[in-house]
Amino acid sequence: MNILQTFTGLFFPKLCLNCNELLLENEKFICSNCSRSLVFLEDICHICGAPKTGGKCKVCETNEFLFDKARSVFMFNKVVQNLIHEFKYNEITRIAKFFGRLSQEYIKKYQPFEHIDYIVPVPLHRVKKRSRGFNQSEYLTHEISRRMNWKHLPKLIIRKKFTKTQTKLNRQQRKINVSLAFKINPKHNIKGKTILLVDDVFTTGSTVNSITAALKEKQVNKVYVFTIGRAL
Amino acid sequence: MQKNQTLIIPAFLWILGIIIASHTVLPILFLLIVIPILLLFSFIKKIRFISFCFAVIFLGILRYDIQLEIPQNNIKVILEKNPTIIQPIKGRIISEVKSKDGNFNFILELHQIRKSKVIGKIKFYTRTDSLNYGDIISVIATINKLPGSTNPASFDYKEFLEAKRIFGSGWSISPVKKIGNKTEIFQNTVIIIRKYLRCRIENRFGEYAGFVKAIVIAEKDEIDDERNIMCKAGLSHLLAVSGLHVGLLSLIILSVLNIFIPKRNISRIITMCLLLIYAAICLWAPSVTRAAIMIILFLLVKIIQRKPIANNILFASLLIITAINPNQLFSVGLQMSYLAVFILLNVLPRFQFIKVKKEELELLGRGKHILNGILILICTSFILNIFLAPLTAYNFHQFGFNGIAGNLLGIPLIGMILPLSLIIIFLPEFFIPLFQNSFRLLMLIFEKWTHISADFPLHFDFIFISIIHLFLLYFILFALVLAIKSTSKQRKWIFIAVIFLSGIFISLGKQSSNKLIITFFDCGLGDLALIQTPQNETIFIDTGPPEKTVNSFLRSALPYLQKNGIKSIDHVLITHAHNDHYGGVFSVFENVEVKNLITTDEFQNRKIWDSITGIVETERCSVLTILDTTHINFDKINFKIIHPDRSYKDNNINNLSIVVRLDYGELSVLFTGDLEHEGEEYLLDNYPEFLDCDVLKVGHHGSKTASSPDFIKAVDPQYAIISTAKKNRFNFPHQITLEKYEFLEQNLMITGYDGACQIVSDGNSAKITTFVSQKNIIDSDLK
Repeated sequence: MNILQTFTGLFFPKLCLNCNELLLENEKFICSNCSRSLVFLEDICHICGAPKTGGKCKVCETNEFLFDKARSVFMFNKVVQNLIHEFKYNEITRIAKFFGRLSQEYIKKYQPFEHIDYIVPVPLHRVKKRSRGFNQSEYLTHEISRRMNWKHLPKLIIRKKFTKTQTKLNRQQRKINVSLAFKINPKHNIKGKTILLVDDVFTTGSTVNSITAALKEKQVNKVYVFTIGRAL
Repeated sequence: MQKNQTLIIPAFLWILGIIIASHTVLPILFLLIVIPILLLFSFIKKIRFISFCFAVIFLGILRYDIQLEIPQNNIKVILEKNPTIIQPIKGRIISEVKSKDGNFNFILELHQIRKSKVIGKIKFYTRTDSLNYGDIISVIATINKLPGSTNPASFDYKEFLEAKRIFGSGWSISPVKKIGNKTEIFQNTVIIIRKYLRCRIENRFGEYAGFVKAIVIAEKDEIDDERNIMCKAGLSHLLAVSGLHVGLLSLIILSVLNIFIPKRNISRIITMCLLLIYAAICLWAPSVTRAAIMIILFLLVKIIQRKPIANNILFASLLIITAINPNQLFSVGLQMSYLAVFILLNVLPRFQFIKVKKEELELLGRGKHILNGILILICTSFILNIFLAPLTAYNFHQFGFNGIAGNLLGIPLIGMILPLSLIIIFLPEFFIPLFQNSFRLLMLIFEKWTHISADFPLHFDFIFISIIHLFLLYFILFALVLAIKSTSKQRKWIFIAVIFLSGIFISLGKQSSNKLIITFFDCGLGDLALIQTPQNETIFIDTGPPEKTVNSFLRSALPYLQKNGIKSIDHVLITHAHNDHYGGVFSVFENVEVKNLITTDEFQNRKIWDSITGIVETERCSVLTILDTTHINFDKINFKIIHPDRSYKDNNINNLSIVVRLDYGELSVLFTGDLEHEGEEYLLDNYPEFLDCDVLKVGHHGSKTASSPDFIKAVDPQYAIISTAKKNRFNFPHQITLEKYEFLEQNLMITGYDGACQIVSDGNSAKITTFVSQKNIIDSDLK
């Protein structure tokens, strides 16, 4: 077995997903050097999860967030950005396992959410999903729900409008871009439930905000948001 | 070198092993013992690396040696014992059956010769039709050893086939009987698809069928003319089905599959299978196989979710190809293909600073992408051209930079032509006219463009470089590349090294050999001899038979000229007006510069002269007319024309042959053309003092009408050369002539049997070598 692994390692070496260096035997996904930049996001606004800027949270002030709480595991630094890029665009979906483990650690450590009924991914439009092949948030919710024993509802939210990719838009454009883009699947009864919404990156919050609006229409109890990276 | 390119060192060691094995033979038993021991050693930490390295080298040697082990009942071994076998044989057809001029040919896997079991593959020819892949046949056949090339530097068909492990050729001499059928599914599918594609292409592309066949199924039989022009234009890489094609194809397949199949990995696996089939359809041409394996490995990396490292994938594919057939390592196609990709991956990224600055790009607005694309394309093809030039110069005796401009339009055009031809092949008949016109238009532009870029003045041919030159050039080039991204101190050392290497390069430059070299080519039935004087002047005596014959000037002498960098011929002498002597003259004029043409006045009265005189005028070649005996001096060489003289009259053209006597120091050679008895007698009567010489080119291809006993006595040659084909309709050389020259024993050379014959002399001694029979006669004292 060991010989076989060395052999495949010769042809397809295990590399750090961030810096492309060879991984040592005890390292997984990224090298110990790069993993140093993966520190949990602490000292944050207890509502929106943004790093504190002293006094009142400016992010909450400028935005009208509808969700009850948002948390992110990491700041969206270069390493997290590269990892998410590999995950989304180079289809290295096993990173979901890595993020799942770290999310579990984070949730166990800080206990940000008291009770969760359903865990739900931010959906992709079906055309987008077909062209990418998968929904990265769904992989994440799958991992987290498995580890935390939360009920997973991957098809609760449906994206009905094909929106442009968010990455090149500014705050205002994003808001308009995603408003009214979502629909709640009527099959599920979610009245009075607490829902955890999971995405890869929290940038302006307009996507999750718009989904929250749709959810709150169905009279859910609380909407929490959980992302891997926090860009701000 | 980055650490993550784990395969570079093993791949280089493996290649080293194969190269070592091709020069020396190590016993396999020894290797089988040493390799496991070395592998065991690699578990010990301290010597892990070094023992692993040696293990890989020995593995490479082992791989090469294994394929040299040929069992006793292989056809190769049998043919070595008796070169011609006429026996009833049984075997299975393992390739497509192709027809050419009413003959059918295929590759036959032998099962039996008479009653004994035989293995091995041969190329088989027959007139029986209705044969197919998989048929097991029984037939009485002649099996021959493969004919090697009979002239120095010319294309070796034997080597070509032996690389495919085909060791003989067979002809049916009775009707072929089918006695069974056994097909393999994969091979059968491939052959059916190939046939189907060929048929479709022929139906739908008309005049461009040959071209489309080349770029879609790598069948280059029909595009010899185009190839030449493309080569001059620096675009021949577009004709090979290569990375560009395979990449484009797999992109099309993948995106089509992705529409219908939600699971990516499934569409990847399907693409991988299709690529393998495609490589098989292209008969595993090196460039296709390389590209296909690379893409398959890339998809595999994606499936197992590792990061792809381009260099690793490149070397992995090289390892796979050479593990399957180590001989491939020595194929020029493979070398070029890998070198090109290696340069693309490793050298090109070092040149990034050439890119235009961002601010400058902004100014251009929309045009910036186009400009950027053009710049990248120019840089890429410039660097590729420079790095591939030494290899092409070494192998094909030519190189050029026309491609730098040629690629600019050539690559985008092929990028459109290829998908369009695929559309035309695969769409139903009804839609075809829609696309045919645009295809025709693109092809017109493409052809025009190749002609334009072929006329650019940056193509150089008749280049000779030795293997030492080749390696020096690559050392210099790679040193320069290293200098780009190194510290100034390192740079200093690199430049010193480069200057030193260039010094060696220049000092190794071609010097005049100071020797007279006379080469009698095997041109089939005809005369074709080249004289290279010590001062590098060149003289052709006759030009061989016309272009269409097997060993005409183009295939016998031209490769030799190209290899030795002889671009211009000082004198072309045509002895007389028979086309086995002047037939090649048109090819000579077409391919090299001719300064003087020497003929008799009688020849100039012939009809054929009209077509020659036109060329002579456009090529600005001066004509020397022989009206009487004369002599021409080339420094130390005395070149006497002793026949025909002014008073000689004869109706037999052969007897009007120019007879040349060449003296260099103690060496004398007599070229008698097709002179027959009457002419010989005339010479004996009038110029007996010029007849005695060392080497005689026997008159009239060894016919009984020449070489009278008195004449031979007067010439008294030590060596004689008969220039004729093995089998010919006149049955030259005649038995009676051979008997007359029997006294020479080994010193009688017949080009049809001995191959090309070369005399090298410094005026005191001479060395005579033959190319096929490998005679090597050294005469150290000519007095």
